[in-house]
Amino acid sequence: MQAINGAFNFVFDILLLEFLGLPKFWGLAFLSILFGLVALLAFKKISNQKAIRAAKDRIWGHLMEIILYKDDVRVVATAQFKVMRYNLAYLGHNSIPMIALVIPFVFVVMNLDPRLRYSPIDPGQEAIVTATLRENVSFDGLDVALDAPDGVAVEAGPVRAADARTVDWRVRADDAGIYELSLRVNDATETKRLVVGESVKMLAPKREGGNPFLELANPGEPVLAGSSPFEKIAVNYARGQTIPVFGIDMHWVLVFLLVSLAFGFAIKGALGVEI
Amino acid sequence: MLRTTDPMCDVPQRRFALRVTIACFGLALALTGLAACGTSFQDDAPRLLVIGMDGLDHKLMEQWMNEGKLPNFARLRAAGGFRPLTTSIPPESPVAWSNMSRGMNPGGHGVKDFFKIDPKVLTNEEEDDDGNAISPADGLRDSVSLTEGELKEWTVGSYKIPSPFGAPVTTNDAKGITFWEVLEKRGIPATVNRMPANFPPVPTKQKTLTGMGTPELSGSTEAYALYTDNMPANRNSLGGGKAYRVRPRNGYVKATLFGPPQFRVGEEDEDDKDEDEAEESADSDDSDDADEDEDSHQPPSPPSECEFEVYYDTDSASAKIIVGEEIVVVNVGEWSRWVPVEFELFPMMVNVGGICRFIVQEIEPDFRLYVSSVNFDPKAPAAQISTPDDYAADLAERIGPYHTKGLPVEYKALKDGALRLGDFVKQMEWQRDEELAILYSELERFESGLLFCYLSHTDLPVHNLWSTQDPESPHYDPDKAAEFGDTIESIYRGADATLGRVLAWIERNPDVTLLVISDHGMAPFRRQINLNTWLYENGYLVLKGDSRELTPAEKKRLEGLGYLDPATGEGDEERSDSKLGKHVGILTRSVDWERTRAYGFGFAGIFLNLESRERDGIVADDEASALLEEIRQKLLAYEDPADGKRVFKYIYRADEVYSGNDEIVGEGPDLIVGAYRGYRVSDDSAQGNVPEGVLVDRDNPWSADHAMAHDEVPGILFSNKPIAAEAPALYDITSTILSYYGIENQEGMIGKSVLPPGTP
Repeated sequence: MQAINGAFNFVFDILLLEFLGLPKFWGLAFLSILFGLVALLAFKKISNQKAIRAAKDRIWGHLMEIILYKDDVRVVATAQFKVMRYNLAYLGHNSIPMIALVIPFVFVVMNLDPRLRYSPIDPGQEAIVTATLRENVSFDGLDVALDAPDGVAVEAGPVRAADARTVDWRVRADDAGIYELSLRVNDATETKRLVVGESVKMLAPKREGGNPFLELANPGEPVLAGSSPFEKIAVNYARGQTIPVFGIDMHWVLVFLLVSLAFGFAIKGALGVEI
Repeated sequence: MLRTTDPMCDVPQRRFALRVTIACFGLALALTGLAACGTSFQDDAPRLLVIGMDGLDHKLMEQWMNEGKLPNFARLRAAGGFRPLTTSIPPESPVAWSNMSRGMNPGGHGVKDFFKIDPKVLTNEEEDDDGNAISPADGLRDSVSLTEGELKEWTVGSYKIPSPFGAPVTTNDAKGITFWEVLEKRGIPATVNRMPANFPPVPTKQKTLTGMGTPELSGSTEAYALYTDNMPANRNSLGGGKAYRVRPRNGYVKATLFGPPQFRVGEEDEDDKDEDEAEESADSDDSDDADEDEDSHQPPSPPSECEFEVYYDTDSASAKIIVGEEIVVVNVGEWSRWVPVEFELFPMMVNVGGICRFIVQEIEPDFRLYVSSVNFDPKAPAAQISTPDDYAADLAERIGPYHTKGLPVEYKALKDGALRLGDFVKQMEWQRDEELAILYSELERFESGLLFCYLSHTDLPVHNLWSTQDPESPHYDPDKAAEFGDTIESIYRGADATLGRVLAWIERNPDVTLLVISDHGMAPFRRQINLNTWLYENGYLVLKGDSRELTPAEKKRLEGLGYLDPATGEGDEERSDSKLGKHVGILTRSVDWERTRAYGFGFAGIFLNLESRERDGIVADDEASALLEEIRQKLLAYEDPADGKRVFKYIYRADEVYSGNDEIVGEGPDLIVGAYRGYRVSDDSAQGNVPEGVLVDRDNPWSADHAMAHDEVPGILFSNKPIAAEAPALYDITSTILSYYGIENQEGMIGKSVLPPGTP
C-alpha cells in the first residue's frame, strides 16, 4: 500500500505543478482541467452515447410537440408524459457512467485533501508535534525524546500529559523544507514528516495506526504499526482549505468541481461527447 | 401653453430637456470627479518620516551619545541637528502628543491629563434636580474618548438584549484638527501608527492605527489574570487584574478566562464563584463597580467565559495550554505566542474575540500561570482601532498578530507582584519587536507623503525599571539592580540600533526628511505628593465632619475589602492608614463640598470649587484669582520635611499658560503643579483621594516619571536636516509637518516650523 501511495503521490506532485512553485489555484486548475478531460473521455467510453443522444432527441421532439399542439390537451398530456419518461431514460443512461466516475473522483479528493485542506508551517513559525500513546504504555517514568534534523529546533517539551495520553513538543524551522522528525518512546522509534514552506505539499497532519483503508485515506505517510507504542503522531498544520480565486476565497473542492465541469462542458462538443 | 400645443414648439422643449439631461449628467460627473479628488492621494508627495520615541530623555541621550554608546544618534546629531524639545504642561503623554498632533496647547485641544472629571457631579447630594441618582464617580472619564448615550436593553428572562435604538456612541473628544486630517484635505497621504490620544480614531481616509488610550477587550487599561494554587497575600488589593485559585491535579489544571460582561441579568451572588475553578479577588475597579451597582440595585452582568486547560511536565519544566482548537507549548518562564480567545456574550449569537499571551511562571512548588490582558485581535478587532477599518488587519497579515492595548506593558501587574520583573522585561522585548515590525514593514511601503510611527517601549518600561539603576530610589533593590541595572541603557542602545537601520534605509532614499522626537524626558520619582492631603491640611479641602469619617457605604466596602474590622470598625493593622485614605476622596462622597474651596484631580491639577462651574461651588469668580495666588505662593514655599528642599518649581496658572479657547481653559484645572525632579503627585491623589501624609516615599516599581516641571523633563528632537529653531516645542512639530508640504497653520495652531524655510 505504501508503494502505491508513493507512486500516486509522485504523480500528483507533478500534476499539481509543484515543481513550478505556483500559487495553489493554478496547480489545482491544471489538475481540474486534466480531470475534466479524462472524465469526459471516460464517460464517452463507458456510456451508451447513442442511447443518450436518442433520449435527448426524443425529449426535444416531445417538447416541440407541446409547443406546436398546445391547443390539443390530449396531445400535450401525452407529450408531457413522454418527456418525463425519456428524462428518466436519459438519467438512467448517465447514472451508471457517473457512478463509475465517482471512484476516481473520491480517489483524487483523498489525495488532494491533505495537500489543500492544510497549509505547511511558515518558515520561522512554531509547530506543535503531538504524540498520542496507546493505552498499554505507562506514563510512569516514561522516557520520550524528539530528535530533530539540522534546521529544526526543539524549543519546548516534552509535555507528558498522562490523563490525555499525549506528549507534546514545540518545534520551529527557519527555512522551507521537508524535515523528518524522529520520536522515541522507551525503545520504540517512529518518524513524522514536518513540512515547512509556502508551496502546495502533501501534508500528513497525523500518522495513525490502522487498516489499509486508513492508509489509503492518509496517503501522506505510512500508517503506524499496531505494535507501535504510538497511536497517533500529529503536527498542527493550519487549516487552509480555501483558495483565493480572483479575490474570493472558495473551498478547494468547489474550485475543483467548477473548473473541471466548466472545462468538460466547454469541450464536449469538440470531442463529440453526449452528456 | 401655446408652445406645448404647437408641434413645432415641441422641438425647443426637447432641446431644453436634452440640455437639462446633459447638465445633470455633467454635474453628476463633476461631483463624482470631486468626490474622487477627495479620496485620491498624491503618489509623489515629498517624504517625511517622523519617529516618535516616547519618553527618550534629553539628559540621558546627551550623556550616552557623548560616551559613545549611541553612535547612530550621535551621527544624526552631527549630520542634521539635535535639540531639547519643550514638552507640554503638564508633561504627560496624552497631553504632549495632543500638542504634537494638533499644534496647540491644552487650552486648544482640551486634553489636560489622562482623565477628566465633570464638576457638575461633585456634590453632597444623592440625587440631581430631576431625581436621578447622582454620584461623583459618574463624572470620571477618559480625557480623550467621550461616550454619549445610554445602552438601552430589553430584558427577556435572564437575558438582556441590546436595543438597536439605544447604543452609546464613543467619539474622540480632543478639539482641533490633526495634521493627518489637514494633509488629507491636500491630498498628501499619511500613515500614522499608534498616535497616543487617538482612540477612537478621528475619522479620516488616512491610514491610522490607534495607540495609547486603546483599552483591552473589556474596556479597561489593564486586566491581567493570575491562576495559582497559592493565592497572593495582596489578592484583595490587586490594582490591574485578578487572582484566581486553581487546584492542579496530576499535572493538569482547568481554568476559566473571564471577558466582557454577558448580555445577562446579574445575580446577587454572581461573584461567589466555585473556588475550585476560579477564586476571584476583589480589586479597586470592581469595588467601584459594586458601589455603583449598589446604588442602582442592579448586580453586574456576569462576565463572559473562555475555558482553557493546562498540562504541565515537571521534568521538562514545560506546559501545554489548550484554548479551544489552539494549542501552545511553552517552557516555564517563557511567554507564549498570541493565542486567539473567544467569549460568548449571547448564546450562539454574539461572540467577541481577542488575543492574549500566557506565561507559566512556576509549576513547583506553586503553580502560577499569568495571562496578559486580552487585546483586540487586529485581524478582526471588536472595536475600531484603525482607519480605514481594515488597516489593522492589513498590518497583521504582513507582520502577524500584535498588541493593540494602548499601554502595552503590564505595569500594574508588576506593581501587584503578579508579573515578575524578568517576565516584565521579556514582555517589553516582544512588544518592542512588534512595534519595530510595524515600523520596518511600513518603511518598505513608504513611497509618498508622511509616515509617523510611535514606539512606546522607550517609555513605559523605563518608568518601571528606573529604580534598578537609582540607589536613591526607595524601591532600590541591590539584587534587582545587579540583574536589571543596565536594562534602561540597553533600551536606549536598542533605540540607537533601530535608528541605525532607519538611517541605512535613508541612505538608499536620500530624499526623505527624518524627524526623531520624544514627547518628554524622564526623571527619578522618589517622593510622591498627596496634593489633596496638602489641600486638606491647609483647609482648602474639607472632609465631611472635618475628619476622615466614612459613610456607611464606604465602611461596608472597606470591610468587604478587608481594610476594616467589622467588629471594631477600625483599620486592619496590617493595612496602612493610607490604604484607608485611598477610599476617601472627591469621588467617594467624603468631601464636604459646601466648605471646600479647592481640590486636586489628575497628576498635576488643582481645581477651585467655583460657584460658576462646580455643582456645589462656593468660590465666587471675583475671589478666584486671589485664592489661586494664595495657593500658588504656599505651594511654591512648601518644603520637603525630609531635607528642607523646595518641592515645587512652578505652579502654573491655567489662564497664563493655556491659550486657544477660553471655555476649554475655564474647564480647569485652574492650577497645574510643576514639581522638581524626584517629586510627582501620587496615584491616590491623582484619583482625588486624601491619603495620609503630604509627602510619602515612592516604594513602587514605577520609580521614574515626567509629570513634573516642564523644563525638568524636556523631550528630544533630532533631524537629518538642519534645525532652525533654537527652542522648539512639541506643537512646532505640527507646523513643521504642514510647512513641509507648503501648508499654513490651521485655526488655533500656535507652532512654527523647526526646519529652515524652503525645506524640502
